Amino acid sequence: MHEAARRSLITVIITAVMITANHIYSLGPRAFALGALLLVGPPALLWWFRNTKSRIAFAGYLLMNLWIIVGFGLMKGLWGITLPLYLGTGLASLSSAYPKPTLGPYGFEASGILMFIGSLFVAFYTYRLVEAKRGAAVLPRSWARTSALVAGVGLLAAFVAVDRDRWRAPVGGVVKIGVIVPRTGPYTILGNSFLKAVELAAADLGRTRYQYQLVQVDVGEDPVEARAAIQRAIRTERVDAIVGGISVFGAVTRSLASAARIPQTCVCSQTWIGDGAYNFTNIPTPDAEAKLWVREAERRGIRRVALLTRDNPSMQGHVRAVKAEAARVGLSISYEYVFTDSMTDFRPLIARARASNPDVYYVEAFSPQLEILGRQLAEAQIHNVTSVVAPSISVQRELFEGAWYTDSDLRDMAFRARFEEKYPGTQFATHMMPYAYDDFNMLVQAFERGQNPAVYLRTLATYEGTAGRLTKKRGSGTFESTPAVWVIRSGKPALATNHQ
Amino acid sequence: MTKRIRTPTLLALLIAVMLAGAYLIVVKNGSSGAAGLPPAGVLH
Repeated sequence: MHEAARRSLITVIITAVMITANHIYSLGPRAFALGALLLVGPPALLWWFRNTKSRIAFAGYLLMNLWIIVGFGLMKGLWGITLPLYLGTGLASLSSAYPKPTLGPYGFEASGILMFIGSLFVAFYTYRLVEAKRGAAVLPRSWARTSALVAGVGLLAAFVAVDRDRWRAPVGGVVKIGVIVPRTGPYTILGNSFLKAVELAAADLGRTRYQYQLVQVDVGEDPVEARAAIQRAIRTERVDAIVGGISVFGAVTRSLASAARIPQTCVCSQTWIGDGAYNFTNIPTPDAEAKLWVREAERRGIRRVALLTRDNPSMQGHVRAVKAEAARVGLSISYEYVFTDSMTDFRPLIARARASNPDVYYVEAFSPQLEILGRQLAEAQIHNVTSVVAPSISVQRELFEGAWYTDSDLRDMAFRARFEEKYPGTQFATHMMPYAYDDFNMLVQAFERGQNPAVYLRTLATYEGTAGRLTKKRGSGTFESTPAVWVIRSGKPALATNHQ
Repeated sequence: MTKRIRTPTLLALLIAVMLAGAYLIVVKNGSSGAAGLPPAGVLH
């Protein structure tokens, strides 16, 4: 009895350490409180039982072990970590009906596996302890082995069945598509025109098998508040799929869409958001923009660049890619400053940038900072301005007259004409609109074909979109497309004459 | 006696292989952050 209790306690303590390590990733320092409970509780209960032979103490010890075995070992360690890691990855490589699992850092995955293995030892030695206390076997040995084997095979089969994404016809023939974009704050222009592009796509649908209902979700400016709005759309409105834009919000939607097992197509430049399972990005990548930008800079004889940019993830994604590509071809960065959203006086920065003798000033910001910066550059008689995308989304493009920049290649100009005719007061943002339109149509295609939309997007390799052909590599979550060089002429974006 | 030695050795080997396999899978597929959270620093 003593030996069985000692062994049982050792396995509980080792497993509690694994549980604590694993929960540091999700709970942070609070994991140590959980660890303390698991490390102190079982020895205390066993000590109480040893001294008093209390049934309550023994039952409490068994219950704590049951918590470790079922809650941490089987549900979290096996079902939540070990099976997705090995079996989920294997199934996803065999069939697109299975999603690639979302993996955490190696420490999280390894401690999860050890948490599961530890719980098996806890189960084994708890069983031995109960046997020792009874003085007889709980089950005939062959029964115990058979039950363990049947339970193991049953769990594997259940995972294979549950992990598969299956087609489900929309309830009442209505497909609810969540349109998740901010419509206030610095993203007002992009968000509103994104929404209009999706509305145009819905209006353009001919006869369809299902009815498509747009569920508008204004996520505001704060990613934390956005999370609650997105959760409401998924849980209360029960959206079947999501079209979204802006990386900051696409990143928030990512884990929520994966948990709900519904697809998100996101006009997001942060390609890591596209996991190829439930999340897919669709916009020229920062690398593609940077390659074209540097090629155009070289063509224009530019050797030195000054960078004045906002501390926004999408914009800094462009900046990182431009700097990497510039370094590759020997273009030098003469000055760089990353500013926050509170800055309004750029004149000292402009003076310092000018002192570095750049051939061109690369700027990226949102309205109204973008216009303030544009105005202060113009006041300083600086007109050799360039960017990735930014002038296209300015509300005063005339401030950037003559500026050149890279942006989406809008091959279907009729799309822009129709948009401007239907929504005369809404600015057409080339950067996002074609992709918002295409994203909606890709989802519609999936439902019309009677395919699970996430599975359909996983298998889709090419799509003829309104901004040219989109391509996606097998297993990737990024639809790639080629950008183009644009120039602001007479206050409007125009494709550069050297455009091919 | 041999079985008593062999079983822990085999179990240790099995666990090592599982952990090494997990490492390869995480490296190949790429980690997306703990419990589906975005990588630290992206959303500053």
